[in-house]
This record gives sequence, structure tokens and C-alpha cells, in this order.
Amino acid sequence: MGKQVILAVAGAGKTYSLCHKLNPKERNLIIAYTNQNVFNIKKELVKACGEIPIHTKVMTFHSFIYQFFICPYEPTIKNFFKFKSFNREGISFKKPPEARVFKNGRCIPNKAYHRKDEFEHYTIKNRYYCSLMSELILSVKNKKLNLQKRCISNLIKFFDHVYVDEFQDFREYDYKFLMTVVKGVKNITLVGDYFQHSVSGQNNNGQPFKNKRNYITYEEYINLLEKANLDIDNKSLIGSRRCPKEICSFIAEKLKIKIDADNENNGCVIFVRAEDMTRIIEDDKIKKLVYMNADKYTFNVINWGYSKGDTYKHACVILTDTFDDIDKENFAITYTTTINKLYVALSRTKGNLYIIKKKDFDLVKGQYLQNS
Amino acid sequence: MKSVKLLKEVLSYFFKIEKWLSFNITIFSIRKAGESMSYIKQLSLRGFKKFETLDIVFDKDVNIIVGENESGKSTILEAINIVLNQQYKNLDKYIVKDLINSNQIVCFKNDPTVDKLPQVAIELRFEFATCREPYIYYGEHNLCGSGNDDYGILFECKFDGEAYEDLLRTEIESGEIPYEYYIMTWTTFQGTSYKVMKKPLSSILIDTSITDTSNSFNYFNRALFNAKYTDAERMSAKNKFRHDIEAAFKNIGLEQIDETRNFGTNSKKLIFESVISVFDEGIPLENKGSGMENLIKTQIALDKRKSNLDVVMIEEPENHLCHANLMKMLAEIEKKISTAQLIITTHSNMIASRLNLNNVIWICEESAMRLNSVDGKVAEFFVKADDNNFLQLLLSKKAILVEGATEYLLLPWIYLKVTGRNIEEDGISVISCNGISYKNYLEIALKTEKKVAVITDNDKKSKNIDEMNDFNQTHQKQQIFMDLAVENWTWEACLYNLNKPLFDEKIKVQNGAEYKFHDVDYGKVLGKMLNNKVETAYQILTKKYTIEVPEYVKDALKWVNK
Repeated sequence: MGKQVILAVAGAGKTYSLCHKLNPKERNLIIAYTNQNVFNIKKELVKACGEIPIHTKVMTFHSFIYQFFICPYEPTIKNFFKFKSFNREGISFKKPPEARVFKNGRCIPNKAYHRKDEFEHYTIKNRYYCSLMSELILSVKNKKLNLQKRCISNLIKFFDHVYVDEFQDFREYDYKFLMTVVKGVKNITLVGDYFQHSVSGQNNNGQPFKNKRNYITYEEYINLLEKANLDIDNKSLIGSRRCPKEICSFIAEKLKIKIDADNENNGCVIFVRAEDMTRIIEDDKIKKLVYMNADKYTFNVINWGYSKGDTYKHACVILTDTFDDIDKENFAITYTTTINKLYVALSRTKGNLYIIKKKDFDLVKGQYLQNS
Repeated sequence: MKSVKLLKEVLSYFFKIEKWLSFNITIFSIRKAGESMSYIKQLSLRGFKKFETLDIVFDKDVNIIVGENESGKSTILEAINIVLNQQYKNLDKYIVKDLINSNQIVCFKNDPTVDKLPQVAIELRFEFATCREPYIYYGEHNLCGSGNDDYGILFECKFDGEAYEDLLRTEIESGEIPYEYYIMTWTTFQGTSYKVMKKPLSSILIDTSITDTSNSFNYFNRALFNAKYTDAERMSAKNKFRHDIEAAFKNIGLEQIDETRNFGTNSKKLIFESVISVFDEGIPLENKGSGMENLIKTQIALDKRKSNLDVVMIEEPENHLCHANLMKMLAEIEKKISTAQLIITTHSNMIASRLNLNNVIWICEESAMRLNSVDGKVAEFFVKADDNNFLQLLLSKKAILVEGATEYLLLPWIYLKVTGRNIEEDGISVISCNGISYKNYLEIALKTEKKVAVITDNDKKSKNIDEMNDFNQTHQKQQIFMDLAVENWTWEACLYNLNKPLFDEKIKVQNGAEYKFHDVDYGKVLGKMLNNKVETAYQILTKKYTIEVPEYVKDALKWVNK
């Protein structure tokens, strides 16, 4: 109990352990970042408890903030912005307007933009911008209205324990907002994988992982969490329940990411020779993983980043230039977020891990382009 | 004829005292502490029917709503029903007209603009012990708004014609209310729409005034069925029912109509809820008399462990019940007091006082008043004094409290003599305190700010006179009147001393009889009057003696009419 963050490795069974650890008799709130994660958690809960426990609620982060922080307190929010004529119709997934736009080669103020102290900054046609909801809540700073404090003290009334999955996906205002929740509640468990940050399609920028222009290191990250009074557990979920031993060792050695194998799966790392390439690429049982533009290819393929959370029988990772020397003894590179994506890609298999170098793939690539 | 009526009153008076003496079971404070439950905490009405604004705070156990006819008691139960059960949801828009407060309509007609269009709001606030998703009901979307987060549901019925405003403006500004453009919305305080399928608490309304039994029964059966069983149990019962009926029909083996046609059961006609009935010892409740039916309904509804109901509302339980059954029902209510929240409307003195004055909510002149600050001893007095006149005091505009039967009988007559008017026409009730301290009634009068004159005796104690003077100086709406001379120590003594020649002539005394009163000799005539108070009063009334009225009584009547 209390506040803790569990740092896990890829395939350690974050969702599994979360669902098996929670007490189904308690009032639990599980927050995940995507709808897919919500679905995975619900599925796992049914496996673990036979049903979704009646007092356990699973929801996405955005519906959490909408249902618990925005809707109930709309009168206070409107009051704060002195805005009356708003009849809420829901959330808008549109991109909010930028402060400035390029027009005829010049950067000029955007007419559609509203300042942050205006309610219209956060809304469009009776809808809240999904991506600005955290910012909206954080911007209601008024001692008398005391919005955040009231929201959180009520959250404690409704739930005994809050769980947050894929914690590393929270960035900028979402992260700040989450940390105010962490500060306010009594029992919260955050589960995440530092090395999987900046992997998914959105939310790849800014705090906490980027400090101005530099990415923070694993150690700095841990420091940050400790400052927020979170107990750090980086031991219990470091065994991958997915990747075979040889693959874990490969990842640990090449990417310097601590990952152990906690399974009996068999599989090896296989650098694909030129003569085997066509067979591997055309074998639909082996999932191919490319850095980007997976939709351009005709074979069974996915982008590195999008494969997050998936498990494949066998995987074949097609490298980029940066990593073509990965098989060399002296392979070493400076840290970029691309490493996180490669880490995700390499850790999807529970069988063999095939690796195709970019220079080899470039030779055959042409045959597999869509519409050609 | 008049004397027959009088005789009846005298007899009923004695009957009351006798019953009061024989009834002394203490049922005070039966609440079990610590049992948590979900209940309705508050009801607020804005522009609904009789009420422009009304806020009622409910007790978690028992609430007894009293008020005169047409004071809006049933409107309160109706309002709860509208919010919780979305009554009227699918009805024609014309119902809106009946929901709107008439003063609001007048206000609008005087100054017909779009902004002034009348609207209705009903708000229910809850306290939850267990609720599956309490947060659905939590927030600030209520009548108070920002900073007032709570659990509740808000019903609103208002003009929803923003888009039509221009089209309708002329019509509206000529004083027409466009009811067909009104909408009814049910919103939880979270700001999301309330779904009746996910009721925050289960309730039932037992309306004994409905004479259409089949309808009231269907409602009762359905409400009980829904509260008693879980969704899954109900679904499986209905499925099995349909399935088994179909199978049973097949088993009959009716001959085909022709090669391609046959009779079968139409599943649309197999409506489970319309065939079920509550059976009491093998007899369907519908087949019992309406009095028994209400008694049994109440019994079932109040047993929360069996019915799972959080809120039980009963409209005038005294209807159709004989005295004995009413007592039974009260005993039932008292037993179950801490299991479900109870909201009762009533006209009955007995119900109101026996279920404790502290639970009484008095609806008067469009406001609700709780008597929950009444002193414990006073409340207990009324619980025990089974046939007291507590409601009569509560429901009358002005009252005169008198000591006992003689004053009670003579005062209306004296009033007519002194003022030339009928006491009832002036809206003044005469309440006999049955010889028991008027102070209990006075406490109620103080709490409810009733104009009350007390006509009492000085009982030969100058202390009583001093107390009266103190009281009268510190109170405005209540005044005590008694004779200031100790020799006029009681009502009979006052009358006698003032009308000696008359009574000496008319009151026949027997030679040799002593006519001592409490072992004191007051002289034969007064002694007889004291020993036969009611008979004397009866004699004065029937023989229409011309008597002088004591000054303090005149003063009291004058003051009451001020």
C-alpha cells in the first residue's frame, strides 16, 4: 500500500501482475493510457477474478480526467473563466490551434488561437480538447475555488486504491497532472517501463523525460520519482515472461537495458543471411518490424513503436542505419529515443528473433512495396 | 338535534381520556444506531406545482409530512417519484402545464419575455452507504452550483427553444407559453444524464388513495420484484418463465389448424411482470380488502432485508384502515424504523405523534418546517398521549389551549356570546390539554410560532401568576391568561363567583350531601360543580343560561383576535 512505482521490463507482465495483485473487494480505479490497454486490463481482470470486480473501475486517462475532474466541477471551471454559454457535448479529438501559423512564408499570430487564460483555449464548440484537459484543470488556480484539492479529496472518497498503467506515457501537463494526483491520494501504484517512453505515436515530447533539450537518464528519472515520495520497485518486474534467455542477454548487452528471462521459452538471435531473406520476409508466421512506414509494405509487418504491448511467436526486426553494426563487438551508440523503439521491437518475440540489416533489406525492398 | 351532537362530543371526550389512560406502551427511541443506509437527504423544489421554492431536509429514518388538505403533501412524494423514477418521461408535453407553479405563470404573463418563461426544477440529494458507482451522482450540477458538490439528481423542465426563439418570440411576448418546446431533463450532479436503469437507490410509493387497484398493484409488484432480485436473477426468471410456458403449451399437443398453421404462445404477450402477484399465505394481495392490502404492502416494503428497498413512501396510511389495523401498521413501522428510510404523508394525529414529533415535517404556506428541535420530553409526551390534538394545533392558524372538558365545551359558546361570531369561522381551534400540562403544547406553539392563547387556572398559587406575567412579557405570539385572584382558582370557581345567584338557583344540591372536592369544602353549589364538571357545562349549554364571562377569558378572546 502507499505510493509506489513499479518499473518493469518489456514482457514482464505488467498488466498481469497488476490484475492479480489488486484486491477485488476494494474499490479500485485502474487508469490506462489507451483504449487498447483498457481492454487488455479488463480481459486480464476477467481471467484473474472471473469477472470485472463490481467495485473496480477501468478507464482511460482521458475519460478519468473528464469524468472525475471536469464534468462534476464544470460550474466552478466556468466560474473561474467567467464563461457561461457552454453546453457540454463531450470531448474533441481535434488538434488545438497553434498560437502562430505560417502564412505566405511568414509566421503570424493565429486568429483561431485563444490565450491560456480564456476558456476558449481549452474548448471548441461545446467540446473539450482532449489533449488540453490536464492543462485546463491545472490552470484553475484559485485558493477559494480550490478545485484540484476538492477533486482529489473526493477521489479518495470513491476509491481505495488507484493504479496507473503505462506510466511512462504521461508527458507534460498529463504528467504534471498525474503527479498532483499522486501527491493527493493515499494509495497509488504506478506501473511503467522507463525504456519504453517516447515509443507510442503521441506524447513523445517534453517532461519528465526531456529536460530542455536533453533526455534524462534512468538514474535521473528514478530521482525524480523518489522526490515525489514514491517507493521505487525496480526488482519485482525485471524478468521477461516473454523473451527467451538468449534474446534477453542480447538486449541487455547491446542496449544496456537490464532485462532477465523469466520463462522457459526457446529462441535464438538469428542474423538473416542474404539467401534466407526472401523466405523469412514472406513467412507470415514471422512478424516483421520496421522503423516506420509499415503500411508501405505488402508482407506481415508493423512499425516498431506500434508493436508495444504485442507478443509474437517469432519476430524479425529490420534495422536502420544507426543499428546496422549491432552484431559488432564494439557496437556502442549515444542515447536517443530510437533506442527505446528498437528495444520494444526486439522484445516482442517469445521464439526466435530474426534480424535483417538495412543494407541487406534495401536490396529486396523494391519487390514488397504496395502498388508496384 | 343540537343536544345530541353535544352529547356525542361529551362522550367522545371521555372516550379519549379513557383510551389515553389505557394506552401507555412506550415505543420511544427504537432506532438502532450505526446501521448505515442510503437515503434521500434533501428535496428542493423550484416552481413546481404549489411551490415556488421549497427545501426539505429529510431524516434518514422517519419523516412524517403533515399539512392541511391541498397544502402539497402528495406533491412532495410526486416530486421524489418524478426524479427517481422518471415519471412523466414519456408523456405528452401538455403535462408540463400541470407541473408549473401558477405564480410563475402569473409573473410571466405580467411581463412576458423569453427570460421570464416559467420553469421547473426538482433536486434530490442523497447520502450513500453502498452504491455501485457513486461518482456518477457527484458534482456541482445542482441548484447551488460552483463550490457545492454533493450527490444528487436534478430534474428540470424548461423552455428549450433557443433555436426557435426568433420564431416564437411574438407568441411568447404576447403571453403564450410554448409548452410543446419544453423539455424535461434528468441530470446527475456529475453533469451526465440520469439513467433510471441505474437507480442510485430503490424506492417504492404505497399510495393508499388510489382506488384503481390493478394499477397500483402492478406498480407495487414491479417495484418490489425489481428491488428484491438482482438483474441476473430477474433475467433468468423471465427467460425460464417464457421457456417453460412455451414448452408447456407444446406439451398440450393441440391439433394443427391446417398443414402450415398452428397455435402457439406469442412471447410478446408473455409479460412476466403483469402476471406476478404478491401472495400472502397463499392469497394474492389483490384479493384482500384494501385496508389489509395496505397493511401487508407496508409490512413487505419495510423489511429491508427482504425487500432491499432504501426508501419507502406511504401516502396517507390511515386510509381504509380501521383503528386496530392502523395500530398494527404503526407497530410495524416502529419495528422497522432503522432499515429503510420512511416518508409518510398523513392527516392522522396518531401517526404523527406516535412516530415522534421530531420526525414531523410540517408543510405550511409553501414552506416546510421540521419540528426536530422539540424538547425530548415534550416529544415523548406526545408519543405517549395517543389521542392528543397535536396535529390540530399544528394545522390551525390560531388556537386557544384550555385545561379540560368544561372549557372545551363552553368556549365556543362563550366566544359566540362575546364576539358575535363563530369560533370556527375565525379559524381558531380550541384544544383541550386533557388536564395535563399545557406546557407541552405551548412548546410546539413556540417552535412553530403559532398564535396561541392559553386559558388556565391559577390553582391558588401566586407563583403561577408570577410565572404567567414573566412569560407574557417575554413572548409575543403566545400569551397565558388566568384569573389574578386566588379565590378564583379554577374555571368553575371563576364562573361561580361571577354568577353566584344564577348557579345557586339552577344547580340543585341535595340536603345532607357534602360535595367536598379533594376533601375541601367549597360550599355546596361550587362543590357540586367541581365534582360534576362536564355535567355542569352540559347543563349551562343546553339550558342556555345567561352568564357573566370572567374578564381574563374576555381578554384572551380579544387578544387572540388582535
